[in-house]
Parts: sequence; structure tokens; C-alpha cells
Amino acid sequence: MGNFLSIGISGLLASQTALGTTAHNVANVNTPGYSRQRADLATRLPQPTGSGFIGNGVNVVNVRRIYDQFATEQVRSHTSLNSRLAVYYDLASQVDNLLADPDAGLAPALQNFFDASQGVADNPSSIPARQVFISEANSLVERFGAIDQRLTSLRDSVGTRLQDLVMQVNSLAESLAKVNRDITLAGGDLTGQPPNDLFDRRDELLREVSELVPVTTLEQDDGSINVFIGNGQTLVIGSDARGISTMRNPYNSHRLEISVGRTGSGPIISDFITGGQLGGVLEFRRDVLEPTENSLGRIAMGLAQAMNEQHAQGIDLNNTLGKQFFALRGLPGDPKQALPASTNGSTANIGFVVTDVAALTTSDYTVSTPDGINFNVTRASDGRIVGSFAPGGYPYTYPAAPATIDGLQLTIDGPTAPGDTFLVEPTRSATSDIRMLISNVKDIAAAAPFRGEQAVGNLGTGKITNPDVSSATNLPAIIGAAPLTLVFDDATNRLVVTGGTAGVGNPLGAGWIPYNPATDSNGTGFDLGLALGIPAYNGVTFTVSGAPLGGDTFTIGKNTDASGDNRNMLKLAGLQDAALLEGGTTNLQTAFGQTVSGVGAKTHQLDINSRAQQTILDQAIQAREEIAGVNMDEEAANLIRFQQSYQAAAQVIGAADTMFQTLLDAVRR
Amino acid sequence: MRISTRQIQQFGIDSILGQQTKLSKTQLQVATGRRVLLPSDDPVATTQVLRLRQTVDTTSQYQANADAAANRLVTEEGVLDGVTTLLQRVRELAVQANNAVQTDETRRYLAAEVEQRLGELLGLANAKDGTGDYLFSGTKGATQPFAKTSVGYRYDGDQSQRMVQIGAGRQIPDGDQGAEVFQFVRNGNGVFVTEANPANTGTGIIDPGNVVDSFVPSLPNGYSIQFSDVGVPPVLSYEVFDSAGNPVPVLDATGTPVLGPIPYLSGEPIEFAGAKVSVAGQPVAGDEFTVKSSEYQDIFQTLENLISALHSPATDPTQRAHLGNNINRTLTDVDQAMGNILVVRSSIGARLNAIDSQKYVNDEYLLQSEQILSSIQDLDYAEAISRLHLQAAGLEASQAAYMKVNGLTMFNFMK
Repeated sequence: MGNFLSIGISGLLASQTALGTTAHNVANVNTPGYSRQRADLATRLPQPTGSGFIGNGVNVVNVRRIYDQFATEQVRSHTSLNSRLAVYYDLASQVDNLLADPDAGLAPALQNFFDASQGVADNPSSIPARQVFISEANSLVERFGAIDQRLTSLRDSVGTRLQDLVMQVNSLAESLAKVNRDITLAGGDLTGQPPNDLFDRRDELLREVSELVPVTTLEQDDGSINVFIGNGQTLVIGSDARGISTMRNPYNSHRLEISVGRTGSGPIISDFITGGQLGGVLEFRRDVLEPTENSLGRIAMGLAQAMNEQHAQGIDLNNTLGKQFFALRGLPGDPKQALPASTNGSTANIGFVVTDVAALTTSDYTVSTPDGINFNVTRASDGRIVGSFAPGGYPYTYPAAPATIDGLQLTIDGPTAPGDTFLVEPTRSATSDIRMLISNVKDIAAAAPFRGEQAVGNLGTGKITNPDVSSATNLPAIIGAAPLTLVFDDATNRLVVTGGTAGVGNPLGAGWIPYNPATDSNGTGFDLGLALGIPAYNGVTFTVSGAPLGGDTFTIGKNTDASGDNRNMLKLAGLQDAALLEGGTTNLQTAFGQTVSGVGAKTHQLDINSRAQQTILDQAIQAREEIAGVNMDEEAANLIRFQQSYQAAAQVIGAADTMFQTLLDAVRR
Repeated sequence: MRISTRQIQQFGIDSILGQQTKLSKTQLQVATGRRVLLPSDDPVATTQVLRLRQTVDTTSQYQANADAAANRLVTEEGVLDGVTTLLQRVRELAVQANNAVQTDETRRYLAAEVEQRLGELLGLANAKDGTGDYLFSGTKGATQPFAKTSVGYRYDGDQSQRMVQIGAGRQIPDGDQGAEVFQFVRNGNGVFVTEANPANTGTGIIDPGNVVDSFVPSLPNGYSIQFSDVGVPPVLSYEVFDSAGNPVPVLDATGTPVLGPIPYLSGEPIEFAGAKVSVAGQPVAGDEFTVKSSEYQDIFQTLENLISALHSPATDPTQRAHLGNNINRTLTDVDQAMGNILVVRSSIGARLNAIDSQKYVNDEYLLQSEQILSSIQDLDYAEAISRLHLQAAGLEASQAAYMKVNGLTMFNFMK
């Protein structure tokens, strides 16, 4: 009888526990990371009697979570990949948006600038046309600045985001350490009675931290787990949260890196973080933001260099040679400083100038010296060593003019210490550095520097073209020289050159150029410097044609007061289609187009990958939910089931009571 | 397969969100009319769009350049038309002056008109274009090209032509410099010029002559045809000397070179050194005519020469002969000037034609580029609208399905 009662009670208690577990499941249906739980029932030890083993009722062995380690880890790793792509895509599409804007992009500003230069070419003496040209040049510079500002704000937000993410990772690491401690205190898995909800909570924390940064885990005997990031750096060890921190890049204090530990001085692990939001942000900075800044910077560099070079080959309304049109740090004459590593043992620095825009790449470079004597220049884009040198003394220029490496020329200003490194970013800040130097309409050099003329008294039919120049190098020296006179001597078939100014290409009196009207009358071109053997006049070319007679005179002189001359302006306007970049294969607009389509293609690819990854993540979540998720209908059925068994167990107790009463009644009589 | 309650909800919501994203994208496409909204939508198309926009903008700029050049050329053509009319009038006046009925006084009237014409010509040569620049000063737009000085007319412009870009790789001069138009005009017949010595006392008149072979100039003073009486009885003969005073062989009727004095016959051709001239009238011994290489003589000087010829008295036969020689000279010079203007004008015409055809080419190119641009970036509305309807229907279906599925739970039946 007593046995009978206790069996009933065991049923009652077991049903209660099962009902409680079901209620727990229903209550936690929306709890993230929750795994459904089951009360495992087993029969009590039966009582051996002469008539065999008699059952002793039911017992709750344990309450366990229904859970699959593999499925949970799948969710975790795909979460890392997914959040990396999502953040990366999100940031990249901001650049995509910025470049796409047909009104705010660089393309219309470049177009307007060159249209305005055509306007000046159409009517070089028109002050309004020149004013428009200057305004458009200013707009172009402002547009570069505006794009730079938006990229800078993206760069700033990358920095803020990194700090935020590091804080979140650290707070999750703290929580993980705490849960680890709780689990250890609860005895872990050792007692056979697992703290299910703590395990779920830890799995969920791991999933959350995986959103930020990919982690690997190692379970310990006491039930705690150690968490690692990067390529094996400790984030959490037992109940100790080591954490991570941001620190300044050794070259560039504005660029934040991720380091191990809370102090901000541990080893940098930015390059090892390949997933999670942190990975996405870092990857965006490395593969989209900085390359975009570099390639836009190279466009600014190409424009400034070519404009300056061509503008200096013209003459302005003040009858002086064209001044510098754009100012840009890093162009010849205005060296830009490399970024020395903060760990350098010397105060030496490297100045660099871009001397050949066509050879310029969009990569950054590292100059390093292992011993303070030998130097290597490494191109960041492909990691190749592109130059090595060993300066004997300082300052030392590498390579010596006119050679350059990838269009650059480096000058080390002093002795270095072993292990010193320098970062050279040739084009990085060009979009923000470019400035317009011309503000006076009269300073626009639309005219060519020289004119060629035939004398009115000439008897023959000889003609001379206006001299052309191809380089500004010699112009300042020869532009002030007195005009050259070319007199045809029919006895010797020579154009005898006199004039000029002593000191400038002296002695000119002896110079002559061969010209035979019988063979040369269809037009023969000369390079004045080469023909006369006077290097200062190298690159001044002209053509003589027709049949001059003896004594016929031609002059080559400064193109003074030629307010209507547009020869130099036509060349400036021609820069729009000139292949200035990529080894002379790409013009400025095309380079911009390539930048835009590069970012577009990257964003497009990220969009596709991100969607594919979302699908994979959904499948992983589904796989986990299939096993561990709560189904309300199932729980409703269980509720009914356990309710019924509870009621039945109560009936057993009732029956026992009735039997006891029956017995009592029998005795009372 | 088990499905958890959370999954069922998540599926429904994900599906609705996905449909909404697609719908909003289509909506944006319809609102902007553009198929490609971001470079990432179609990176290849984006590059093409950038390139085509540049093509369209640049070509439009070429069209504007071409219009500006055409305007300037039309202005110049108008001025040169005036110059041609003016020179024709001068030519009429010169012919009129050569008429024997003219007296010194009537010639002075003619001279007065030529002076007026000269002033008018100077005005035309110093004409300005629509923007206030001088048309004929080359590239020194602000400098007045021609000015009268004590020794003739000075050109202050330069000898440059301004080129204007009217197409990709196509440049065209938008004017002509004044020296080329007014100054570099060969006098005489273009190769050599014949002159009578002002000291001549006979009535011989030399014609402008023509070139029979390649003319060999004798520098610096040219050939002189000298008349003398030879033999007894004296026969008026002529002999040709070069600049250095050496006799030059003259071809006779059979083409044989003959040295030494040749008897003079009025109007008979005298052929030497590739030139063929003839002297008519009655020169006397000691008279001299020169044949020298043509030089540049500006049109103003040609008119000045005519004026001074008209002012000189022509009452006796000798003076008349001088007048005749001078007017002959002027006529050839005016013809040269008119020829030169004609060359410039035909070049302007050719350039205007070239501009027209280039503009046509540009227009075609512009149209094509714009069509391609439209086909790349513009939206196919019919397709987009039907897509919009489809996506809206999809969204509605998702919403309905969500409501339906989430209403299903066994707890509804547990009362």
C-alpha cells in the first residue's frame, strides 16, 4: 500500500518536473540561443520480492538540453562570415554611392574644366572666357576636396567603428569570462547535471562575439572554454577576459589598428582578423577605401603635373611664361615627406617627388633598412622589392635623376638606424592637397612662347611656321633672349642664324641651318637647338618651306602681345584625351571610370556574396533550430500529455486513499 | 523535419523584407527613369556611361567651337567681300584714268576717289570681330594691325593663325592674319615686275610680260633693257643687261639666243631668262626698262602708287607714256591683290564647308552616342512597371501567408 502511494507520488513529481520543463520551453520560445529542454524519466530501482521485481515508480534522471555541438558551431562560423560581408558591403556601397552621383562625381567637374579650356581656346582674349576657366578649375579643385572630405568622413567612421567594435568585443569577453566562472562553480558537466541555461547563454555570447570577430574555442575539463581570435591570440582564458584594444599605426597615427590585450601596446593583429564586423571594416579600409583614395589621388597628381608642365610652356597676357597652375605636395620642387615608423631609431626622413606620372602606381611603398646601410623599397600592392640602394652619404637621392622607380624619386635626408622603416604614400592625400594657384585671368598662359615670321621685303616664297616647344625646361633661359634672325644665303644654301642674347646659347653668330630650296621646299622641320648645337634651344621646333631667295629673312622671337593666340590653350585642352597615366595608356576620365567601375564591381560582388552567405547562414540556423528550437505545437502536446499523466498519478494517490479507507473501515467494525 | 516556431515566423518576415527590398529598388528605378542607379548595379555599364557622357559633352563643346569659328569666318568673308568690291572699283578708276580724254584735272578727281577708297581699305583691314578683337592682326587681337607711316604701311599684328578644335583631332584656322591677306602680295605679274625708267624721254610703254620658262632672277637690281642707236644710219636697238651689267642673250624668233644689240620693233616680244615682255611706242636712245623679280607690295602701297601716278601731270607724249606705264603697273598689282584676296576667300569658303561637314559628323556622332547612352542607362518602363506589379503581388502574398500561418497554433484549441 505504502509502495503504491509512493509510486503515485513519484509519478506526480515526475509529471510536475516535465510540466515545468515544458513551461520553461514555452516561456523561452523567443529567447535567443535557447535550446529546448527535456526531462529524462527512468524507472526507479524495482523491489525484489518472492514473486519477482515489483516496480517502484518513476524518477527524473536529469533535465538536458536538446542540442547539437556541430550545428551550433556552424551557426557561429557562418555568422562571422555573414557579418563581415554585410558590413563590408554596407561600407563599400557608401563609396559606390559617392562615386555614382552624376552631379557630385569627378567626371562632370573634369568635363566642365576642359570645356572651359576650349572656351578660352575659342576666344583667348576674352576675359569672361578666362574667368570661366579659372572658376571651373576652382570647382574641380573643390570637387576633389569634396570627394576627399566624404572619403575622410568614411575613414573617420571606420575609426569610430573600430573603437565601438573593440568595446563590444571586450564587454562580450567579460560576459564570457563570467559565464565561464558560473559554469565552473555549477560543477560544469562533471556532475551529470549540466547547467543547461548557462551553456545556452555562453553559446549565445560566443555567437554574438562571432558577429564582431571570428573566434575559435577550446573546452577545458572544468567546463569553462578558452576563446581565441586572430591567429591564436587569447581573448578569454577561463574566467579571465584578456580583451583587445585599438592602437595607432606606427606610421600613421590617424590609422587605428587592433592589438592584443587592453593596453593598446600589444602585437598588431589587424591583418589576421578576417571575419566578423571587425574584419569587414578592416578589409573595407584596406581594399576599398585606401585604394580609392590612392587612385583618385593619382588622377589629381596626373592632372596637376600635366597642367603645370603644359601651362609653363605658354605665355600669359603679361607676356611672361605661364606660372605654376596647381600646387600639389609631391610634385617636382615640392617634396612630400614619407611617414617614418614611430619605432625608428633615428630622426631621418625621406622626401619624395613624383617625376613621372605615367609610371606612377596606386600602391603605397615601404622603405626599410635592416642595417642602416642597405635599403629596400617594397611595393605594397604585390609585396615585391622594386629597388635597393646603399647611400654612401647623406642627403642621398634614389634613383638619381632622371631615372625613377615607379615614377618616384626618394631623398633620404640623414643617417638611419638599423631596422628603420618608412611608409611612402605617393598619391594618398593628393585629392585634399591639390590647390589652384592662378587667380588672375591675365595669368592664364594661352599663347605659345615663340613666333616665327618672314620679313616683308622677302623676294622668295620661303615661309616659316610658328616654332613649337615640347618642354618647359629651357624656356625661362631663352624666352628673354633677343629674337633670332635667319637669313638665307643662296650661295651655300644655308639659313644663317644671328641675334639672340650673349650668354643664352652663345655664340650664335656662327650658327647656320642647312636649307636647300631644291629639295626642302615641301617643308623641312628643324629642332633649333639640335640644328645649331645649342642645348638651350633644344625642343624648339619649326618648319621652313618654299623657295627663299638670297637675303630673304625670317625671325624667331618671343610671342609678345599675342592675346589672341591659343596654341598653348589647345594643348591644355588636349590633355583631356591625353593618356597621362598607366604608362601612357589611360587618360584622366578613363582612370576615373576605372576607379568607379572597380568599386562598383567590388560592391556588386559583395552584394552577391553577402546574399549567398545569408542563405548559408539561414540554413545553418535552420539546422540548429531543427534540433534545438522550440515548437509550440509540440509543447502544447507535451503539456496535454504531462497534464494527463499528472492527473492519472493523482488518481493513483486517490485510489490508494480509497484503499486505505476501505481497510480502516474494515478494522473499525 | 522539425520546424521551430521561431523559424516559422522568421521565414515569413524574411520573405516580406526581401520582397520589400526588391519593390523599393524597382520603385526607385521607375522614379528616376534609370536602369543603373549605382555603379555596382552594372559596373561595365557605368564605365560606358562615363565614357559616353564625356563623348557627348566634348562633342557638344566641339559644336560650340565650330559655331564660334564659323561666325568669325563669316565676318571675315564679309570684310573681304568689301575689299574685293573696293579693288574692282579701283581697277575701273585706273582704266578710266588711262583714257586719252582725261585731263590732269579730271585725273585729280579720280585720284581723290582712290584716296577715299584707300581710307576705306585701311578701315576694312583694321576691322574688328564680334568680340572686339581685330580680325587681321593674327593672334595679337588687341593690336591694330595696320598703320600708315612716313615710309609706307606698317603691319603690327603677327603672322600666326588661330586654330580651333572642331572635332576629335580636327583643328581649323578661324581667321587669316593681315600680312597674308594685305601685305604678302607679289607685285608685277607675280614672278617679275616691269618698270620704265622715270628718266625716259621716249614714249615706250612696257607690258607686264609673262613667264615662258622658269624665270631666272638677277639680283639685286634685275635686268635692264637699254635702248641705243646703233650703226649708220642709226638704228634704234636694244640690249639686255643683268644686274651686274653683263649682256644677257635674247631669244630671237627662231628661239636662238642672240647677244648684242637687236633692232627695235614696236610690240615685238623680247624674250630672255625665261621672261617675255614687249615694248610698244617709240622709245629713244638712252631709254631704259627694267625687269626684276617680284616683291611683296602691300595693297595700300598699290593704291598709293596709283594716287601719285594720277597726280603727276601728263600733258606731253613722254609724260603720257609714263602715266601709261604706271597705270599698267597698277593694274597688274591690283589684279595680284584681287587674286590674293580671292585665294583667301576661297580658303574661307573651304573652311566654312569643312565646318559644316564636321558639324554634320559631330551631330551624327552626338545622336548615336546619346542613343547608346539611353540604351545603356535608361529604364525600359514597360518591363519595369510589369515587374513592379509582380513584386507588389508577391509582397501581398507574403503578407497574407504570414498572417495565415502564424494564426495556426494548437493553443487555440486548448480551452
